[in-house]
Amino acid sequence: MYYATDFGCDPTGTSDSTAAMQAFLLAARASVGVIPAGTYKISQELYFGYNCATEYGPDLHAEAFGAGKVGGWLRGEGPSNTILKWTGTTDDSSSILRVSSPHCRITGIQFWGSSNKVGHGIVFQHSHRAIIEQCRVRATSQAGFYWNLYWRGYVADPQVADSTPYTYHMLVENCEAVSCGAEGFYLSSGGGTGAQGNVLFVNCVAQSNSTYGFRVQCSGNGVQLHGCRARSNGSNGFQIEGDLNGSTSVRSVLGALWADGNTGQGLYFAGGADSNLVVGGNLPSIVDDGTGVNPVLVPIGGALTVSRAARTGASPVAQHDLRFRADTKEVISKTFSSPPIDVTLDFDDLC
Amino acid sequence: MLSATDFGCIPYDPNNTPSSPTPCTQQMQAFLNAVRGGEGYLPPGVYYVDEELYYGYDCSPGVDAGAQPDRNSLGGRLCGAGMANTIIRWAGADNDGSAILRVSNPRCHISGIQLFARAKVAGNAPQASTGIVFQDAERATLDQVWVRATADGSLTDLTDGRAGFLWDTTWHGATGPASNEAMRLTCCEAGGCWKGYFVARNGLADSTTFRVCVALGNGFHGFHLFGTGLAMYSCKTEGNGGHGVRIGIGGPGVPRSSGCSIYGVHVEGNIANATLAMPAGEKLYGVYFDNADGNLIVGGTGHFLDGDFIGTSDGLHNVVLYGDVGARVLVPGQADASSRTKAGREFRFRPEDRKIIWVDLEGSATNEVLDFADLPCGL
Repeated sequence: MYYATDFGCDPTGTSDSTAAMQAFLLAARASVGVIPAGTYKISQELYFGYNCATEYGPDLHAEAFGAGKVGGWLRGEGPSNTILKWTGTTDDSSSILRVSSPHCRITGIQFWGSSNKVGHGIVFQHSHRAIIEQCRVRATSQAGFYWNLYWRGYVADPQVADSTPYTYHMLVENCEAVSCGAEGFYLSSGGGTGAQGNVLFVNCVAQSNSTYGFRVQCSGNGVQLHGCRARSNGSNGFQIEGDLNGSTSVRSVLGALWADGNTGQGLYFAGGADSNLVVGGNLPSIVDDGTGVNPVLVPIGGALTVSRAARTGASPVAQHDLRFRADTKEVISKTFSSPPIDVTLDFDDLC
Repeated sequence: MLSATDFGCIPYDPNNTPSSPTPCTQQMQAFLNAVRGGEGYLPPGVYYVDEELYYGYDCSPGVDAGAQPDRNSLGGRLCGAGMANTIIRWAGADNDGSAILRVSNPRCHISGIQLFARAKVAGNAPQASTGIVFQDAERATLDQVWVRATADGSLTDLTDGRAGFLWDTTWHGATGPASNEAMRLTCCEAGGCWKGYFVARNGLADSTTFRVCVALGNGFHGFHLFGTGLAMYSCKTEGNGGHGVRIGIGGPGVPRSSGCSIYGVHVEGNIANATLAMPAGEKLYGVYFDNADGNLIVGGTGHFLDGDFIGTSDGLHNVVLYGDVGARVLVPGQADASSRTKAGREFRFRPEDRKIIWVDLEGSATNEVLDFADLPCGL
């Protein structure tokens, strides 16, 4: 177990801790590393795991594939207490921390962009099976939490068949993105379709970010969000996007979401986002731009307004909205041909 | 925090292990006893053990049977350095019915550990039968625990086969009061085992939740869950030799499983990987309900690449919803119709032709395809 302060990191925020923190991260990347409470000045991008821009990733089929490089646990003492504060003087689009560490765990740290001088808060490049919990990003110039497999590039190991980075099956829980200059949480298409699928967001909050609270692109196939809140963001609270040509679906499950005070829609399906399913939640509006083949919305209980945004060009595509009303055991269905029609189906009357 | 190395446990370098590593079973057990109600740390490395370990109290008959210790002395945190780095490896007899670790420790927390059943001795032959057994572990949480390569297909009892993760309150014949209720597993993985995750008849794991868990390349079912209110979120079951997910245990006198939910499972390649001869009339599915009521599948996220996604036998009220079904769907509504007393209903979306399929399983199964455009209400 390693402690950042043993490597010379300064928790008082007086001196720059960049070099010492990187040395600590290298030592702890396949072990447990603790960053004691305090504010640490960081002026250059850090990485946790292996440096995917210059070295091979681990062999995932090896007996102990960590190989001294990945899978460690990075622990702060809570996002209110352990703070990595960016002190770079220009916005060079760096992140405060990038993660190339499958099976790692990052807990209880705040990443503070400090007056928007850093691009992203934390970037996930190779981090499948990782757990990110109780982390907070604030005041960056771009996205707070950012998934992009190609960030800084990567070096494929010719001796390992499966050395491509990906971020399948991550858990992001109780995390918060505040006052970032773009999206709060952005699972981007960078890295290829499907390579970032099945990320599970639970009880995360995006607040007062400049654009979307949560943005999931086609690469996020199978992403789920449960119990998340998007509040007072500068665009749509939740943005689910296809690949714009309709060939790739998102297939997300969205449960018990809460959107309030956002400039745009509560939830917006765009660019051929197919087969999404919404269960419950408190969403003031759900809008589909009409380019998706089959968005499916299943709110259970609660009021919901569904409208269809104006679109031009492609022909309208029929879409279905199926709702259960638990109290009367009825199904309420709706299609979005023009004009919208509501119909109540009682099972006992069918067939 | 106590460290296993303080108790004489030897963490071997996985890349530089001697040909005959020395097991540290007794030292490891002493460490586990010391931290069962506190916090214990297993530094990176490979630890060899040749006898079953337990974490918590020893509920085997003749030891602490039926008499739990003061719960204030339990509920500890056992922490490794990540499941890629901290490995407990079996060096005992081959498939002797042992697990590597059994847990009788309510409200405990285990994280960042790999249990590797295959020993690095004698030509890699010996294997532990089971990875981890939960005997009395209610409210326990496991994060990033990986079980690999436990004994596989030598067992003939398809119901009670061994598993990577096994829930069984009667393990080793224990009879004391025990419960595995309301556990939570997150980012765990079972690979190369018989069943990946198996809640046995005496598992008592109601309301247990699996989040982002993976069953990969096991000999039989990926997940075989039994009980009430179990839930899966964003799990993956791929390349196993049985059902991808099986909810329920059939057979006389076995209670029905009910209220289980699956959110966004990724099912792929399980049927194609099956090599086991199934009993007559039994067929493999991506997801299979057996003597299971009130199940809910929400969202077909990920991939449904197994040919027949859903199968049921004898379910009372299956409700299935998903937003994406890329593969053929089949509900056989097969045998044992006499036990159905209420309608079972399924609702499915079929994206290729934008239709809803409604299936009523009451009596002899009927299948109706509902196309909104054809409904008499004028849509």
